[in-house]
Amino acid sequence: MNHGPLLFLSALFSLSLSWFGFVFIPTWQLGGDQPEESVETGQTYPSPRPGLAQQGAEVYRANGCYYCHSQQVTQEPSDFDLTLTATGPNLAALGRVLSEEVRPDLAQAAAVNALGRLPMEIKGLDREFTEYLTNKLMEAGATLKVATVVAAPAAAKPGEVPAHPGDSFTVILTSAGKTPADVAKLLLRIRPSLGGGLTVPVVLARGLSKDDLDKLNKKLTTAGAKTLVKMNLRGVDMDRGWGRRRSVALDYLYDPVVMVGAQRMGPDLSNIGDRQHSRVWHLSHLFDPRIITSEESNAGVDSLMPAYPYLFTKRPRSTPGTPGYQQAIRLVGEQFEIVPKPEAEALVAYLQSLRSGPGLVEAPTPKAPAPAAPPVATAPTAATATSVPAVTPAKPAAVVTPAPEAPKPAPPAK
Amino acid sequence: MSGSSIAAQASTLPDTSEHVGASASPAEIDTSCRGPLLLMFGSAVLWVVLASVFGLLASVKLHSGEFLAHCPWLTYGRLYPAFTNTFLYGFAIQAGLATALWILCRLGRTTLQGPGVTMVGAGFWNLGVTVGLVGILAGYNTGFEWIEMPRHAVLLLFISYAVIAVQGLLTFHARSERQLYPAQWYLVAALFIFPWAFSAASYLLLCHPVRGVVQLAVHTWFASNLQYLVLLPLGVANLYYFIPKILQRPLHNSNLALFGFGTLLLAGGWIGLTVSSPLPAWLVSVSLIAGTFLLVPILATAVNLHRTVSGAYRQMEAAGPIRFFGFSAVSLLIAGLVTAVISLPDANRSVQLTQLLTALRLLWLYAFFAMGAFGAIYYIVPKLVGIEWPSRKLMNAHFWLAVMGTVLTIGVVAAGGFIQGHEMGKLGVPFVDVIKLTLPALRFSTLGELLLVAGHVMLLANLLLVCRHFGRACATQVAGWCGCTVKAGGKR
Repeated sequence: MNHGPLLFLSALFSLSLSWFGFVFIPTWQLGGDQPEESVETGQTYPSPRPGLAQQGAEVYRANGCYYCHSQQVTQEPSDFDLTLTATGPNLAALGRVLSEEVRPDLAQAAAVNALGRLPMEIKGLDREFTEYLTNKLMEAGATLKVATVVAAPAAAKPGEVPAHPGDSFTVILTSAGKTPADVAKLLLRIRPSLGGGLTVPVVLARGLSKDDLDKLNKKLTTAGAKTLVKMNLRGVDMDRGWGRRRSVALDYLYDPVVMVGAQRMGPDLSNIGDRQHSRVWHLSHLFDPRIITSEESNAGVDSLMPAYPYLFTKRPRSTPGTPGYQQAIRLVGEQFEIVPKPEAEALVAYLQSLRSGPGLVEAPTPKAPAPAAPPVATAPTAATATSVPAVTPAKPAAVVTPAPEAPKPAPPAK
Repeated sequence: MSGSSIAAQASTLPDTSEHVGASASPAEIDTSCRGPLLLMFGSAVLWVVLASVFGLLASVKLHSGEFLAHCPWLTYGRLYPAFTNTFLYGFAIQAGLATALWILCRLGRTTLQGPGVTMVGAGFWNLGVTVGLVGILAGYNTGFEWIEMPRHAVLLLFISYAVIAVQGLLTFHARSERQLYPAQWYLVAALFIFPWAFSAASYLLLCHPVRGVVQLAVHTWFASNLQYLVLLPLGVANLYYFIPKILQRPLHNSNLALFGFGTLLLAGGWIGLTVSSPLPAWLVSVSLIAGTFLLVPILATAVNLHRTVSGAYRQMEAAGPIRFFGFSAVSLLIAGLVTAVISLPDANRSVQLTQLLTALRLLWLYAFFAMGAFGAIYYIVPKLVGIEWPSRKLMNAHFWLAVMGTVLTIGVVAAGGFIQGHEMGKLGVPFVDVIKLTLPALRFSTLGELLLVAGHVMLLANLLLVCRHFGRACATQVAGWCGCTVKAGGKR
């Protein structure tokens, strides 16, 4: 490569390619976004910030708050719940899959259940196996009453021609005795269809990873069963109470400067307005983060956040009627009061305007709203509370008709 | 890369063959570069000292919220961008440009075109950085990392860059050695890409902002181009030029270098989005794939350098500029590996929004780029002024301080970031506890930053000594011309 122009062209090509991908297509794809109607509240979202909050965003930017505070709620990969909705025609195959790989306990329970409908005939056994089975059954249920052995004449079943007439036996089980579980376990081996006779719908597994889900689902659907997959929205951010759903492009539509942040030296602020309503709390926290203490944690004492005393005027405690008395904040145990400058008021207005967005098509929120997010959320139950019944169709297998049409899981972003 | 064996040889060993025709001698080249390059290197060193002081203050502020709290100009959110911007624009790009000009002259066997114009450009560049720095500290931060300087500073930077880069391209065009050496590809590509990316991003973010989250895409695009298609090529060009030259060994394989160059151009403009970015999923995927793919050009470069040096590793450890290049090359490989690993979706999920990304950035910008740039300064400046470095000890001290500072800072910040990501990903761990666990790492990193400042001061002191010697030599010469004796002394 000895030509300058070639160098120029390769650089131009490289830059144009990435420009096309990173600038042109996103502009085309997202640049014309309009507020949407929320599927949760039915209201148009988002709406522009009020003027004071808009000024506060400038203060937020000028002081570089976004270097330590992100404004993006992340979400872990979802996990899945698998429900059996129909057993399908091939109970034997389903029973085998269930008892051998998926849920032996459920298969056994189904078999025990079937033992409630005695007598049960087990036909077409040879002499050797009949003896073996009889012994085993009697061993399993010590009080097993009778396992009647009847030589089956070939003529007894007109449609059936035994290979060796005269050697065919039928075991008729009349009572399972006191330990039906053992009997059921035994029977499952020779009659797997007993394990397939579940009462549906039944939840087979919870919290599966995508790989496990696919594996199980494939086995079940090839056995002819129909399944329902439920995706659980999960995320430590939501668990910490930093939002009710992950952030999507629409959340930033009216931000003149998008400050999603790249670091979390402090908590995420996407919904700080929901978590902390109090103006006084915000102002005191800005003045000195370490004087704030809350019942839930000693977050204030251990805070690394810089103090912003320059956003305030400090003065001796004033009396009612003095200008600024209304706005001033009198800290407990201090002889002075602090009067917030306009920047501080604007910044607090901005922080209060940061709210969790409502559920959208591409990012649904839990159906039952989570309990009002506590100021410092440590509720460990939030993870399960945020699950959403987003439903994927079960993988259609060759032997079954596809599962009924169901809404697809939300795409990661628009 | 077809050509005669002589041409191929010429393209694998930088400027060592005899001069042909009207080509300029190294001495002529150095004389033509002297003014502008001394100005640019000198300012770059001043900026890097200042930047590291800002970095040190920011590092203290990160774990001590009360420190300097009363001064709005010195709050963390202003010190940190002041640090990154002075480092990037004041030091990295300026030193990179100066080195690029010199390498283009040497490899093209031609004198620098328009040294006077270049000097004016360099002066305005520094003015631009100063204006931008004051803007950031005064609270006119634009809100986009790495392009935080206010609009008027950006405009000034753009124009002065254009002035300098045009001289670089004219020099490239006027070269008398037509055969191109790999370092030249990287340099010319970087010279082209910076102004395009910089102006497009400034226009789309600062002048006529795009809507909503598209800003995030544009900003990532710019940062990726700046880091991987401007600074990375400049740094790689340094390694490709100086290592074979100092060791007097031909570059192992220029086809491999071409492969590395091509693949870098493909991957470089796409890197930097994290899995949870609120952007279309395909864009995030492409970005992560590009991050992993970056390993290809990095490995190609590393293998090429390894085969070049192979058998002479002892020489890489020798005191002098070569050590800086050696450290830079090793850092390049590590940075490439780490970037590839954290671009895997699962790894990326756990390290996004943590200090590990800060550590990685330091690895790229400091351990790789800045160390190479220091090596170039140590190599070029004596050639420009015709005086060896007055203090070898200061140079060695700088090297070891820089090594210790880099390893300490990057190591502990990365460890802190790893812990941070790990704890942040656990259910039920309050955020306060996450930060409390990263606190020791943050405190230790301050020590590393202190070492870096000390190292930069060594470099500055050495440079001032050179200037003093050079000033004396000039004064003696002038006195000689005038036929009278002047009391020697003073600065250049």
